[in-house]
Amino acid sequence: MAASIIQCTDVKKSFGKKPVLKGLDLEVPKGSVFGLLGINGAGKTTLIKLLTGLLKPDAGTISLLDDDPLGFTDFTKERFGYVPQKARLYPWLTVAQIVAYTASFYSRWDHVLIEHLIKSWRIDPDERIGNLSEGEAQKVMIVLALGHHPELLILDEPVASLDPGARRQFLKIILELVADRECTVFFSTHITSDLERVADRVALLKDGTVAFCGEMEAVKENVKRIRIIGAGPTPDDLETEHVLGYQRSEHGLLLTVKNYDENLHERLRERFQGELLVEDLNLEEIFLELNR
Amino acid sequence: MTLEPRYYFSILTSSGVPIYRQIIDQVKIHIATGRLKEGDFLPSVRQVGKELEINPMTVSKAYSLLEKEGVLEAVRGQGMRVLKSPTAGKSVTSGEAQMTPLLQEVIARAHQVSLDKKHLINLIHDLWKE
Amino acid sequence: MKSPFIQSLKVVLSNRGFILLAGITALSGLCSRVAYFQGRFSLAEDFFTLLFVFSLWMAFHFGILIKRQFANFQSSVLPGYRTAHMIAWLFIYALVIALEILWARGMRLDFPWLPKTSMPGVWALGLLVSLFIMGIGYLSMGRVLLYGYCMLLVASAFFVQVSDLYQANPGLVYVPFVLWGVGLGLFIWRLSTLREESIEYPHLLTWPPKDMAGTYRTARPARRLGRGILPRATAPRYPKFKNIFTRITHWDLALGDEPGLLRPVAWVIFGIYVLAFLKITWITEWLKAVYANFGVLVFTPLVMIVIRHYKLLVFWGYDTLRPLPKAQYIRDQIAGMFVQAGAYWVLTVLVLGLGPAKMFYGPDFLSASLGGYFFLTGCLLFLILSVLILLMTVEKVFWLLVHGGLLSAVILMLFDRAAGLTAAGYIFIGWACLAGGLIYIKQGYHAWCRKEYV
Repeated sequence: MAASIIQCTDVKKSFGKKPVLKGLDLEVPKGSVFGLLGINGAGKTTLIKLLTGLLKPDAGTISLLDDDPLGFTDFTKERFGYVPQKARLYPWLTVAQIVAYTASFYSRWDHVLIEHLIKSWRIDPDERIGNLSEGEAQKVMIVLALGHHPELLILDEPVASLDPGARRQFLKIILELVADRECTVFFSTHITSDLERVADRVALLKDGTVAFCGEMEAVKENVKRIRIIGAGPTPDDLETEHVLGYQRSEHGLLLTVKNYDENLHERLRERFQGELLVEDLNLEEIFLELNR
Repeated sequence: MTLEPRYYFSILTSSGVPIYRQIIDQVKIHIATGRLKEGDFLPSVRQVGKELEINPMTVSKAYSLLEKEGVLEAVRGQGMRVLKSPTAGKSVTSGEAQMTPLLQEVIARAHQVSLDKKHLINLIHDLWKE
Repeated sequence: MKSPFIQSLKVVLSNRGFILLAGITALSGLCSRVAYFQGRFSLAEDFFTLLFVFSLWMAFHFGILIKRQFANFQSSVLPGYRTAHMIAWLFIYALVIALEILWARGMRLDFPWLPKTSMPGVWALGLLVSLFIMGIGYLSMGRVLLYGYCMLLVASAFFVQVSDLYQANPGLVYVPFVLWGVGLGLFIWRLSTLREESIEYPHLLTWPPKDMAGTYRTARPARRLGRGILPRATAPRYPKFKNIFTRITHWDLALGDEPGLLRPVAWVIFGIYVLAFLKITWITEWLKAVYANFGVLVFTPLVMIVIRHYKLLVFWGYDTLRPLPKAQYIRDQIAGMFVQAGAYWVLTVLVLGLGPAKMFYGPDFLSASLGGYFFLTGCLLFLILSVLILLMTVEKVFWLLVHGGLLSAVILMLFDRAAGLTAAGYIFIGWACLAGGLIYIKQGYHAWCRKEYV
C-alpha cells in the first residue's frame, strides 16, 4: 500500500458560482495525526465531504485507502470511521439502540471499548438521541466511529461542542489510538492548542488551497516573526519567497517569515539597516498571521 | 528505576518553542544537575505521551535526537538509557548546571539582536549588582 | 428606512415554491376565465379544478412558510418582528381571497357540483377549508397530517348534504363564517405567543427533507433491540447477501416504528365502520360512491407512505457510508417504500373499496370493471410514488415544473374519466401508468445514487 493514506491532486469544487476549493493538493502519511486548520468557510468541511464521497469534485483526483471515494468498496468502508460536524442520528432511537444498529454493519466491533467509552463519558445508554444535548450527541457520534477499529479516522471539527474536560478526554483517546493501534487520524479544527498537543502534521487551508503543510515542530521552527526597528519605507520587492506577511507599525516593520535560518537573518540585516528582533510564534499566532 | 514522566518534564504545548526541543533541553538540564545519572532509564515514549497528553511521536523524535547527540543510548527491550555525561570528569555545580542553558539562550538571543560579545559582557557588568 | 412590513412581505414573495404555486393558480384562473367566456365550459371546469387543487396546495405551503417565519429566535428577540410578519401574511391571505372573489364575479359558476343558490355559504366553507389547511401546514406533524387528511375526506363527502342544508336554511351560511373568524383569531393568538416549548415548534416540513436532527424532542417508544446496557449478540447483523425482502425487514426492525401509523389508522378505520353500521347517511353515501372515490383510493396510501418515510430521507446520505454498497442501500430504501405503499394500498382498497362494495351492493357489483378500477388506482399510486422519488433529488425549479406538471395533468385526466371506463380501458391505462412508473423509478434510482449529500 502506498505510504499516503489520503492523497488529493488538484481538487476543485464550487457550489453554484462560488468556488470553494481551487486546485488543492494534499498528502496524509500513514500513521500520522494530521490537523487541517482553516478559518470558518475556508472549505474544511467541503474537503472532508469530498474525502468521504458525500460530494463529488468538479476536477482533480482523490484517493483514500487506495480507493476512490466515489466508489468505495465495502472493504474500504470497514476500514475508516467518520464523524461529521453535526450529529446525524435517528432521534427516536436510544443510545443503546443506535450502537446496536451501527454495530450490525461492521464485521468486527469492540463492545468492550464502546461500553467503556460510554461509561467514562457518562452517557445514559437508555436516553433517546433526540433528548441529548449537542455535546452529548457529538460524543455518541465519536464513540460510534471508533467501535470497528478503523485504520483511518476522519473527524470534522470533532471538539467544537465539547466542554474542556470532554475535549481533553477525546484527545487522550486519539493519542491512545495512535500509540496502540496505528490509526491515522485526520481532523479539521480551528482550535490550535489541540493541534499543538496531538498533531504531528498540520496543513492550513486558505483561499481554496493548502497555504502550507508540514510537520508541526518544523512549522514552529520555520516560521518566525521579525521586528525590524527603524526600518525605512517598505521596499516594493520585499522578498516574497520567504515573507508570509508583513505589517507596518510606527516603530518599523513587522515581518512574518518562513524557512527562517542564519542566511535569511543576514540577508535581512543587510537589507534593512535597522535592528532585527526575532520572535518565536506559537501555532495560534502563526495561524492569525497567515489569515490576516 | 524510572520515575513518573511528570517528575521529569514540564511541557508547554502552546509555546513558541517546539515540544521536542523542550524535552531535549529538560533532559540535558536533568543530566547536568544530576537528577538523571549515568545508567538511568528514561520513561518510555508511550508513558511520556500518555501522562503529558502529547503525541508520542514527538517524544520519540526528542529521544532520537538525543541519541544522535550521544546523550542517550537505546537498550533493546528496556528503553533509553543515559550515557556518560558529556561533561564527565568536570564536576559541575548545581548553580553552573542551571545557568548554562540559560546563558546559552542569552547568547543565542544576542546573535539574533546583533549584539556582540563585548557589548554583552559590558551589559552584564552594568546590570550586576554586588 | 426600510419598513419591516415590506421586508416581511419580501420573505414570503421571494420563496420560490410559493411563487410557483401562486403562478400556476393564477394561470389556471386566467385560462378558466378565458375558456368560460369562449363558451367552452368543460375546459373551463377543468381549469377550475386545477385552480382549486393548487389553491389548496398554496394554502398548505403558506402555512409552512408562516411557521418558518415565527418558529425562530428572531420572533422573540427582534422588536416589532411578530407584528410586521403578522400583518404581512394577513395581507397576502386577504389579497389572495380578494383576487379569487374578483375572479368569480362575472362568471356564473355553473358547475354541476356547485350549489347555485348559496354561493356565500360555499365561500365561507372555502375560507374555513383554507384556514384548516394552512393550520395543517403550520403544525407540520405527521399525525396531524394524517388526521387532517381524514377529516378533509369526510368533509368532502359531507359537501353535497351541506349545500342542500344551505338551501333549506340560508341562515346556516354564517356558521362556517363564524368558525373561520374564531379559527383565524386563534391562529393569530398562537403565532403571537409561539415559544420554543410550544409543541409544534420543532416540527418543520421542507422539500426535499433537510437536516431535521434535533427536531423531534419527544419520541415515542421504539421497539427494543435487546436488553442490557448495550445489547451485543442480540443485534442482528445487516443481511448484506440475502434477498431484498430480508433486507427491507432488517431496516424496518432496526429503525423501530416511530411514529407508528398503524394505531391511528386502525382507529380511523374503526371509526368509519362504526359510523357506517350506525347508518349515518353521509358516511354510507360516501362509502357507497366507490367509483367516485378514486382520489381517496389513490391518495390515502400515498399520504401514509410519505408521512412514514419523510423523516428517514434525511439520513439516507450519512447511512451510505456504512460498509454496504451504496446502490444496494438505495435499492433497499426505494423497495421498502414501494412494498409498504403496496401494503397500505391493499388496506385502503379493502376498507374503502371492496368492503363497502360487499356491504352495500350485490354480487353483480363485483364485476371485472370494478377489479379493473381498483387495479388502476394501484397503478396510479405506483406512478405518483415513482415521480415523487425522482422529484426528491431535483433541485432546479424547471424540472420540478416539468415532472410535477406532467404528473398533475395525468392525475386530473384520470380523475375525470375514472368512473366510466370499461374493464379493458382500466387495464390498458393501468399498464401505461405502470410503464411510466418504471421509467421514473429507474431515473429516480440513478439520481439518488448520483446525488450529493451537502
